[in-house]
Amino acid sequence: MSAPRPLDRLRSIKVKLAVVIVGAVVASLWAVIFGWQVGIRPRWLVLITGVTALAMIQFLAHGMTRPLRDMVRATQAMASGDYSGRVNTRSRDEVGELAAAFNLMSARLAEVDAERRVLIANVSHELRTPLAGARARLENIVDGVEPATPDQLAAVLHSLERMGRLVDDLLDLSRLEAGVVPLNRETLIVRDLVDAVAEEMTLAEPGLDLRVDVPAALAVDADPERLHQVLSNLLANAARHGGGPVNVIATAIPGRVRLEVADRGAGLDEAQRAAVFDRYQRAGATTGGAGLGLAIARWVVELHGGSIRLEPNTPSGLRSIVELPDRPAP
Amino acid sequence: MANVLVVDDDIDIADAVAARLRADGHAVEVVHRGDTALTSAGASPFDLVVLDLTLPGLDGIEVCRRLQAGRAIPVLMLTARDDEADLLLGLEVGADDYLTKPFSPRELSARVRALLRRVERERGPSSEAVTVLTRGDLVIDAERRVVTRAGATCTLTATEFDLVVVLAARPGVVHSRLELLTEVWGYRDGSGTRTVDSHIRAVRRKLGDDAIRTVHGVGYAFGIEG
Repeated sequence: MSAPRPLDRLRSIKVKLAVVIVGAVVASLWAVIFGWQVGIRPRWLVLITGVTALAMIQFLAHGMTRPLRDMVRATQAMASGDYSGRVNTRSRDEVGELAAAFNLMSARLAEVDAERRVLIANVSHELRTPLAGARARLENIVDGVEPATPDQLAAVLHSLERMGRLVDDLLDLSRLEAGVVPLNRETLIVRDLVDAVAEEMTLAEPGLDLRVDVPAALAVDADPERLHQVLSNLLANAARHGGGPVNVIATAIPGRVRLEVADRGAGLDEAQRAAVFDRYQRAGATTGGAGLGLAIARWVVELHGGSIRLEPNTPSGLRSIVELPDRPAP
Repeated sequence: MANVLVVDDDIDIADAVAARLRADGHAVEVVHRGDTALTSAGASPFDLVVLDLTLPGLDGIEVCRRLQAGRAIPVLMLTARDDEADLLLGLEVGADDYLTKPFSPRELSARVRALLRRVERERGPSSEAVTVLTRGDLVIDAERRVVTRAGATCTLTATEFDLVVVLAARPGVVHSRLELLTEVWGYRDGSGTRTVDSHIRAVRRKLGDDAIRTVHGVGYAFGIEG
């Protein structure tokens, strides 16, 4: 590392090679002339010339291929799952550019790998809870500790449904991210959508105090099934983390339709609000959901050309605000 | 038989655990939040707490710490992650044992029984003839359950203390993890050798690395000559 790299500044590997060749030729010519003048025997002269040329090459070309060797090493480490390898170079030629691109690529791969780990950790964590519930119940029933009443079995079924939903979410997200989900857009009456989701939510959470305020004529151009999923994720979040009444409000603003779900729960602080849209983040150690709901919502809304954000509610709680274009993008 | 407090925010899990423990003859109280767990534990004396790690209100780690701060009450932690043994068993929290979800209620029942047996044994008259053990600069007062090293008092949890007593009773003798599990925890099957390792690490952190010697491939031995 400390040896000088005289050719680092040259921007082309061709020029570098030319300089190395010319340098070696000049040095060996100089050695021949010098040796001739001092009267060294030709046999030794050949040897001295060769050594001089090699020394010149070694001096000039020092560090030229080092980034390549570093890359080979880092690539081998990557193949076995270690993405931390980076290539250090001050070289400005094509090899230097390749090294820079390589570093960028390994940083991206490390990022993706870290996200994947977080996802797997969250998903396995979220699967374990319903799995533990179902297993404990069933083992109790098998051992005769609890009777196999419809209520007990319904609890097991509920756990299985939770696991099923999580698997569905995962599949949805991977399809959305792969970009293979086509949108079936149609003119959608917002009121119908909200009523349908509200009905489902009230069935799932009979105690939920849901208040809907949506103008009857409001329409949006969207995929009904996907938008249903977004609203149902937002409502499920509000029901789970909120407390007290949950408001669903839709309004027309110029060029867009705004759909808002507001709860009166504990809310989230600013850092948490920014973080929840990162893929697979969960707000704190609260239960339920693998952090997929909001990630899916964001993908769907962005596919529609809209935006989604979270704001604090007053006096407490969270407002999830979705804005969609009221007619299809040209 | 015993009063057990079950703390888990998942109603299914909590109910199933409670049903299993009731079938074993224990009196069980169930709560679903961390803060109410402390209120309940303050209101009536429990012999054992089954505690989930992630709880609303106050998380399981903090609950366990505060429970242990009052008096040594055996705590069995439930966790969704395998890699938290060290954290749970002593290094930070001082739980006595843990199970990873999804767990078997049969195993939970066995571990609860073992933990309770241990508490019972400790409460009974001490079978050790010698109540104060001295090993080098380490003094173990079995009567008052206090350990001092070079004059400084070391705060050990109940499990860590038992572990030190078993090892120090026969200095130089190598105890396998299985022997320690049987002697300290009262388990008869081989599960939970990781529990032993985590507690050994916690003891070393408190008494010094030289207090316990690792005999590779065999087990542990008391490390202080005296």
